[in-house]
Amino acid sequence: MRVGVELIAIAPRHGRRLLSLELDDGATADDLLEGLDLPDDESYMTLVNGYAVAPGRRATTRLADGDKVIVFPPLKGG
Amino acid sequence: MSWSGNILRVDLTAGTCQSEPLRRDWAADYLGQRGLASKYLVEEIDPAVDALDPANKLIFATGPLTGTMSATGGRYSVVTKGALTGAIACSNSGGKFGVEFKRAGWDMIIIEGRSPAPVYLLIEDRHASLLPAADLWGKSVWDTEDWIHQRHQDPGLKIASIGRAGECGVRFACVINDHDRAAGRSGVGAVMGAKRLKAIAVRGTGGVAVHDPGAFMAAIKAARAKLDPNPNRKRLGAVGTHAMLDVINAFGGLPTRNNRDVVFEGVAKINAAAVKIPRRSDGRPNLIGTKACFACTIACGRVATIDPEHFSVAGEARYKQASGGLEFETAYALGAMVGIDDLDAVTYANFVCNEQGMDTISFGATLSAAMELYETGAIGDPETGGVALEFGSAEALVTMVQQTAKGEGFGVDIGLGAKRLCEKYGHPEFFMGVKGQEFAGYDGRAMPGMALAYATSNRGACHLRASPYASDFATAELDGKAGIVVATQNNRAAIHDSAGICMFTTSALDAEDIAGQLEAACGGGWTADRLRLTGERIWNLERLFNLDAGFTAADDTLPDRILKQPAPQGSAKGKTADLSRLLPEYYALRGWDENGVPTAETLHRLGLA
Repeated sequence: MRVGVELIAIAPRHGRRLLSLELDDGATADDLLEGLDLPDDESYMTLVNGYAVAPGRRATTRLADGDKVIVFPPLKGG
Repeated sequence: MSWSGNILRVDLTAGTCQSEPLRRDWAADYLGQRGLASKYLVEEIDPAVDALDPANKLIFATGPLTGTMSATGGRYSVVTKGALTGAIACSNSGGKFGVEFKRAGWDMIIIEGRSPAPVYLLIEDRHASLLPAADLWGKSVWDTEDWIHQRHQDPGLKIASIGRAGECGVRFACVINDHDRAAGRSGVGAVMGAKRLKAIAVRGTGGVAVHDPGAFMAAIKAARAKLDPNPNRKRLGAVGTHAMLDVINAFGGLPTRNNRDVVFEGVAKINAAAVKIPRRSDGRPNLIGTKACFACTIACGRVATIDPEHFSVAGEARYKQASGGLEFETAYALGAMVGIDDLDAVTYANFVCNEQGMDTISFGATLSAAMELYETGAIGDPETGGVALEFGSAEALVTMVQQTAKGEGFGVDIGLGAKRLCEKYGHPEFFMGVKGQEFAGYDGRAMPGMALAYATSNRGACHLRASPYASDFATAELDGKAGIVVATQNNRAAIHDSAGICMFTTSALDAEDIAGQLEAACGGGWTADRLRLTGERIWNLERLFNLDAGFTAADDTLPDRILKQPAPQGSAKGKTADLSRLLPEYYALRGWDENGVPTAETLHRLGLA
């Protein structure tokens, strides 16, 4: 299956990156994050099709063909 | 040590400046800056006083770590009864001004009364005097700083001043120091203007002594070892707070067109990437550099320019110079909230807000309310002087920011703030804020923790009084959110608003780290638990002030648009904010009764009985 991924504010460029990734059927949100090879010095938040998926639920959140996943670090306001 | 032990008390009515010793017993309980200044304010003014009355006081306060080598140790706060809200106000700023007056030998400056004529306060170490400001009245912040530097032939003077907005009573006027650093919210600049105090100029040639220099150096070195590699520190240096714009827009929580929408379609034209794109006219991007406050190892400050061919700067050379650039809240308020995606117009409005001393959040949100009034026909061209206040109009933004700053035309009404403006024209429901203060750039429907933080903030709607961000981005479930809001309100009150350091250290440094620095700097047994208790004490002290000022539990709420109208897009599509569970939980955790009043047991435990 193919999912769209948007990375926001993630090092080293800290901008927006759009990716289209091929994943195995049955892949979870956790599988996706592991495959992205993100910097491991901070945690990440995820939106799947616009809805927040808590870190503890990613392992059981199965993705589907055509899903759109947004990944960003937990920024704080200021 | 670390506190200088001296307070400068300035009586503008009498024209006197006197030194008095710091109440060290109060410093032991309220630390410094926000906490300590709030204690003085609560002890010295009637909470029911009109904010613009001479009986209100205006306190500039540093923290124990201000002026030390602690990373980001350059903060000061302005504490007063807010002109925008009528609640206790505390606005925090960086730059170098606070450090300079700490180095001059003062922990705080307490301003009282009202001068019969405009004056400015000159402080040269322990000598302070009031000087006529007739030649300054009517000048912008930028011109005021230039004038004072030239008048005293000292470019090293650090200056905090008001622009024309503060002079003419704009309710959200702020105090600006070091050209573009703002003690921004709640109208502290309007109080300064009402007192006819144009500026404070300081030269401090002393240092800041610490209790145990060896232990202090070890503590700040350990803190740097945590802060320097922190990814959030690196991100703030690289793209500033501006990075939040894409995040909150993707999340569906970016207030847009007076919170009628929560996603802004034009965000890519004003975001952190847009400011780096070279222009056709001169080949330069909007963002040309970064800068840092005193002792800051983060450097979130932006330096920007406006396209020299943009309509806003035609014939206005002063705005073709580089100046403070966009941060997230400004991009939200002057962009999404008014539906404007013209980067140069947004930057221009930001420049003018800095130049004339206006809070960008409140100005943008109030203009947004005016645009909704205009769209619905509640006001029209007769009221606006022919200015078409349409959402998305860069021309309206550019025109109204100047009119508001100078108290001209319909800008007089914008200067009332959104609450008073909407009430004046018969639509109080268009006011998007709490306790008279406009929302920051987060919609409470998408962020339940932020909804509670807004509703309970002691200075009116504020994104800086608590830190529910990570929780809200992870889940909309309410479990635990009241506890997060209480804990982070206490931490921010005691640590980042009272110690003298910047809140942007929170990603790397915890209460234990800061307590270690404070103990080495001050002595006296500072621990993380004591800091948390101090924060809780400060929060309750502010709450008591507000209750005495006339606020009640009924003010701990949100506009109907947030409570009753479902979010039209984003992660909270179809949902409203719900305080019915969170607020009682919050009151219980705080040790307050069902009316939001601290119980006798709570007051006794905190030493407030």
